Amino acid sequence: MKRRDFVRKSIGAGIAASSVMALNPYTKLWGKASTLQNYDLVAAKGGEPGAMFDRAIQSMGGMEKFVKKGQKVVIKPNIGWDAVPERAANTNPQLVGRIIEHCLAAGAKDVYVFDHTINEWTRSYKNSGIEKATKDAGGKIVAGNSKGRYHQVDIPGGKVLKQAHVHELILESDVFINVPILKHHGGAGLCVSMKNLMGAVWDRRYWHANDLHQCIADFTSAIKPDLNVVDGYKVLMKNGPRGVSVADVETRKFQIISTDMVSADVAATKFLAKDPSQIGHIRIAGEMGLGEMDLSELNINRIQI
Amino acid sequence: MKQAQLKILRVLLALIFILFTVFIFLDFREHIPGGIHTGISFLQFIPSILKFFAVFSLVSVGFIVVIILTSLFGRVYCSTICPLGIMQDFVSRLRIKTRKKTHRYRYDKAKNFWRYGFLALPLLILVAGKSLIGVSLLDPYSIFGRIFSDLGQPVYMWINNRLAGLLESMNIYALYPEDVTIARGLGYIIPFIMLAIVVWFSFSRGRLYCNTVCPVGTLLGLLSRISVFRIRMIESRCTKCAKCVFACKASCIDLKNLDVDFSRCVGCFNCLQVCPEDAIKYLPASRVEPDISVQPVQIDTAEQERVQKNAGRREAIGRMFVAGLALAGVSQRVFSQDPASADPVTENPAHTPEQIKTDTTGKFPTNVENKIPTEIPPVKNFPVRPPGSLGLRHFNNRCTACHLCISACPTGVLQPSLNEYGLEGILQPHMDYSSNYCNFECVRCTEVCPTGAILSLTEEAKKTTQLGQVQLILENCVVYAENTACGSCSEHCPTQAVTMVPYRDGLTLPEIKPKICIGCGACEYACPVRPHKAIYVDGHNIHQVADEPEIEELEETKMEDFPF
Repeated sequence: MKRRDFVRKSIGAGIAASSVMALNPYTKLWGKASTLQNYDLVAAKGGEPGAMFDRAIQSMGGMEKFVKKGQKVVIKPNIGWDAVPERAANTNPQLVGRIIEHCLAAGAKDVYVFDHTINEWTRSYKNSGIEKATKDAGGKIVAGNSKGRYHQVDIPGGKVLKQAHVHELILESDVFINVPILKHHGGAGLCVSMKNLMGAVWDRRYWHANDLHQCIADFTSAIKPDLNVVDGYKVLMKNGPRGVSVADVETRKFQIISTDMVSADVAATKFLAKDPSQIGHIRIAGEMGLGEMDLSELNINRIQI
Repeated sequence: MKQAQLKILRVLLALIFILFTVFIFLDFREHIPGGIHTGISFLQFIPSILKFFAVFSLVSVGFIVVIILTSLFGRVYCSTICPLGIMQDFVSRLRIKTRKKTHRYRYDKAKNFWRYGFLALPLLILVAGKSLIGVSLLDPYSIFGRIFSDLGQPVYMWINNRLAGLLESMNIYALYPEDVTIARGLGYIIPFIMLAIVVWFSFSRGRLYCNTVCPVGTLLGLLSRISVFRIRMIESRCTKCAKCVFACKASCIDLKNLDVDFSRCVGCFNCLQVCPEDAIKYLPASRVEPDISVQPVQIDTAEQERVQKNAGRREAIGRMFVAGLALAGVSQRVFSQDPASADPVTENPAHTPEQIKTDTTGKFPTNVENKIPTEIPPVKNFPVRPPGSLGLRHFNNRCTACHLCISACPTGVLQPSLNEYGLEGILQPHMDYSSNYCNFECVRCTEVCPTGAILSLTEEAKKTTQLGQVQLILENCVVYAENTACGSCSEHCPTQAVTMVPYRDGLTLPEIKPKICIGCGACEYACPVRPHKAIYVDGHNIHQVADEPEIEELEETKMEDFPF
């Protein structure tokens, strides 16, 4: 049995078991095994990326809450840079692989992975380890470098950004999972969920030339991922978003998942002991009502591994 | 082995050579590992000579192998190794296959004025004009390279994209599309004209190009006049059926005098194969033919032609003398160069800052996206050259513009120049930061260069090779001019020679540290303002070594619990 099949089957078995427990009125016999609370946000800490995701997604109700049988899923990690995983410039490949396995176990027909990279894309895909992780997990890696694959989308709620060219996979897929890596960002302050969506559009230059923070928030009003998974396993603490060397990286071992990008970004910011209202696009998105900035309003599950 | 079988061997070798050579110029996805390129181009005559004088090493003695081969067997190079020659054979073959009537070549006299003229011209330009331009424009390998890099690769990419699209529609993601960028119209005209000329010549007259225009052909032709073995006709066997004449692409078999003009023979061995009597074959040049006593039929004409030939020989010797002088000039010139010790200011008087100052005014006339168009144009003193190309003079004097590095560059930052190096450097590649920027971890171009214009660099050395230095025009910066966040330059900078420092209202402003800048152009490429960028790279005359970025240890963040 291949590792991939094993993982898929064991995840499937786990899901089946927990479903049985959830539906069974005698669940209480297992103590507090019921995991189906409606959490707005789940934060996990202290484990490996894959293990943290297993626990976090389970407490969100399992991947089948997001992915139905036969659906087409697109995962958008950060693969922006020609850098090895230790440099933490790109999303952790192990995490990407595990998310794909969960999607396939939930019955997804196809799981696509792409990013509109900043460095040369074939090298970025390869050296980030994400190309291999995707293929090993059974996903399909798709190039993000062709202008023809991006289609114009109107952003009626945008103040500055009125339209953008968005990759067709984002537009066509049934499920969109956003998997940013948390990192320092010289221009945007921090790079989390909302900033990560810049890799889903073609014409980024316009954003930089026309009030970057407002554009990031504007885009969020039109394109909303079904799930955001913030990778905080290794964190680039300075010289972001690219980083100069491994000396810029700190191993923090946390992960946040949420359907609300604003909340996820606020939570991630707090993990770095920063003030979310100081990050322009997070503050603007909160003011525009695109998500909840006040974490005390949310039902949060905290998982320590 | 019967000599008739030499043709089969020649065709097989030629196919191997051309397949590899074509593929290195088409490959845009790094399928061929970098180190193999120099092996494939090892025997290419002009690149090998240039590289030899650049590195003085065994890896570049290909031209000596060619000289030895030629002095033994004549111009076998032209039909077996030279990609432009093999390409012409494909064209000739196409003609033969598409016509119903049997195609027949005819004997023709040598075009001595043209062939020696085209040999002398680039050498004169090299010696008198101190420019490689004549050699670059006429070197068959470089002509072939430009055709396949500039014209062939876009077609190859287009085919790749159609295939990728087809597979994608079947939900197979095995091939990836690549944006075909045809950047600069004028740069494609020269390869296109050369393609047209070469195809026309070979379609109508076999190897006339190789015996009229090609200086390498002519030079090796001079050598084959004294080669040890030559293709000769055996009078006693020859029935004058003329099959060899009809098959001779070089039109060099003179049946009337039973003579082969071996200086024009390209060594295709067609004649050996078609002769039914085994009357034309390689024989030692020194051997007196057994039937030499049998006089040619028409003594008078033969005598006349012999006189003419002697005149031609005198002319050739005269030209050889000129060529020899020129070659001596080249070697002296190349030997005397020491790029490291050259004075950066006075090194190349042709490239004083004033003369090659690039005026980028109007370079981006359309699509001004920033609200306030920028006003201050960048001042660039020197064009930026690829890493490993040392000094401007080193590069200009060695690059034959074969465009292999342009084909191999994964980002497309290397583009053929038009006026960046002046007219004599036309088509030599330069780093075009409006097209893209140099990938920090990449040394691809340094691995492929056949002439030594770009010398190989380790990845570590490349990361501190400073091609130029960053310059900032704060007044153009969108953060400064429009009070909005950006940071695109710093975001792209691999060494953080551009960092974002606190400004006002929570904004950050770029700050440059030119000492650790390697001049990769990422900031310039990424800068969003138009028409003039706020940050750009000014190239160095001679590449410098950049300081390594300072590495500071991080302060450990202590956080026991969840912060919310």
